[in-house]
Amino acid sequence: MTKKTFILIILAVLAVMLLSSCAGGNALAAATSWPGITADPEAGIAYLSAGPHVFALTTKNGTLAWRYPETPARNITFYAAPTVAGNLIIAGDYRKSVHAIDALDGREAWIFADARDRFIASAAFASDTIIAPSADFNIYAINMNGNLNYKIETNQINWASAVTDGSTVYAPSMDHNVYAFDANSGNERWVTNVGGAVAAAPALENGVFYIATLGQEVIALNTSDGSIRWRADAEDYVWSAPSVKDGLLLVINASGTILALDTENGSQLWTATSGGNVTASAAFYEDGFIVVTHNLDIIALDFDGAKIWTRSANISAGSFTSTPVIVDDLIIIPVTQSADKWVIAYDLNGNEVWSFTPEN
Amino acid sequence: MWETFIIQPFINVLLLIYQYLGQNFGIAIILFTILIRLVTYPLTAKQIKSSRAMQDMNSDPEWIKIQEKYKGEREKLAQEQMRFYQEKGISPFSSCLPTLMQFPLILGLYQSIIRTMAQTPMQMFELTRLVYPGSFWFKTDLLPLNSRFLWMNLGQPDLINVNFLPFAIPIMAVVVAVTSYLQSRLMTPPASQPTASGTPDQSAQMTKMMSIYMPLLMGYLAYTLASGLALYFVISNIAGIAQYAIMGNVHWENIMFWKKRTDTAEKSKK
Repeated sequence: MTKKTFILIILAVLAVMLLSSCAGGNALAAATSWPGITADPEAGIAYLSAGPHVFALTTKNGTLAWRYPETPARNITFYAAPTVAGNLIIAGDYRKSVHAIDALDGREAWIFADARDRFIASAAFASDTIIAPSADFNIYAINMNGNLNYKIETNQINWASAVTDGSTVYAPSMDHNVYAFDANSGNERWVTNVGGAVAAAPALENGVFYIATLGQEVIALNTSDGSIRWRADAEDYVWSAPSVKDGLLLVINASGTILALDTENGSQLWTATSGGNVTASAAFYEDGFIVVTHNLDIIALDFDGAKIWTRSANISAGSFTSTPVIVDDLIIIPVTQSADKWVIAYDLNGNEVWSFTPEN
Repeated sequence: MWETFIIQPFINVLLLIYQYLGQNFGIAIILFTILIRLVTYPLTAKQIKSSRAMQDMNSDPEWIKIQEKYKGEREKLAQEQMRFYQEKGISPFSSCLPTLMQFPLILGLYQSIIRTMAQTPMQMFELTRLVYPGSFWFKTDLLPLNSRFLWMNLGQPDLINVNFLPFAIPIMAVVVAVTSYLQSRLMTPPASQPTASGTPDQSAQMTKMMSIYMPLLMGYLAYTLASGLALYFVISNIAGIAQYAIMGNVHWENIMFWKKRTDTAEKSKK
């Protein structure tokens, strides 16, 4: 092989590597997303899905209780917020498996690997059944031993978590439908087309559930038969789950407009602006609720939409894209694509209490 | 700037095609690739023309004489070469300049396809922010885009499981490798005469090596990347061959292996 040929082949390899890196790594299969966090107030632990691990952090001071897997596995990443299911922590990965982890020590209990695509939505838990919507056009119902009970076939990918009232599962899909089925048997109760893809979990209160769609609408449906009670304009895409408390429905659209709607008829009570893009839901606390924005702002508002305080995170890079959890009087917020802090905890006055940066 | 002037317009055109022509992302990729190839056709035509002039020079008796005359005198040969270029009106850079000018467009096309095939909420969020505000044509109920095309999920690598085989078949990777090979063979002029010194033509050897290694690398890429990109590679290869064919610059004899064998056999008989 001549020197010129060798150089030419090296150049070709470099060109291929360039194209490959433009594609964002391995086939978009290693795509990233925003991290997910869940808290178990009784155990005093927050569970964070972020990249190669699920982390268990003590809510008081952010110390690491365990991480799963201990050694990062090739091509496996976690972004869907973990679900507490008894003594197990359930976390779907971005490859095609659902992992059950012992909540006490972080050891693997079982892995469900029947799916063909990633798990973007968090799992729901009802009647000893784990409901895991997958991007492979199926919603899997898995028993507590990791075996498949049944699956519901949808017409598109599933990115939104399901909610349950204990006996019935309500699962929105990106195929514009909401599926209601019996949690034990999987028998269909009803299916309603809502006219837009749903990427975030519904909110459920008093026999009504509320969804926000990528069709830029907020819709209230009766849980009994799936009939639509009302529809309201969301003024932009909505990526976050609606939050509902005592008749107040909060929806935050992608532009950061906070819409407070009357749960009875969807009429607008008030609006407020957050000043940045928002993909996280509002998190309620005693005096009001917390909103976080992509440009790293944390805003506390009261129930009338008046700002109580605003803070900016003290980090060099990253964004707040995930819904925070409020536990033990702390606002715990995951940071997306941060160079240093992966989680920051603030008190209810907006003062930083602790942060978590994983060790290698 | 790259985002504003290349990626965003490309994504919007891609979505426009998706909206009005079939609402299938596979069809949108095919049509958009062809569209970009049509837009860059004048550049390609110029490049082909310049390459042909350079090839013709190699068989020009005057140039062969110059090579023989200044064999062993590198500097003098280089000076004569420049003079020859000027006399014949050949610009050695005019064949690579159009390629360089096309490169950002091709890279932009490639990136915009990846960005439009949003596979996670974060990617789709970014995609929705790139749609021009107030786009009358983009209906929000189009989301998510239909990424099923033929047997493929365009957002995933293409692997087909067949019952009687213990492994999955990467059909698109094979198609990409084959079309890349055909493209490189059809665009390569037949091997030139041995040089004045009688040694085999080095550039012909290099081209031959590249026509084997590149398709293999492209096939590997298609095997690991989402099948939507593999589809883009295939259409791009076919469009490339078509462009060369329109210019009458396709060397069909390069893939007529049976004909070569017959010719060789006849020659050896003689």
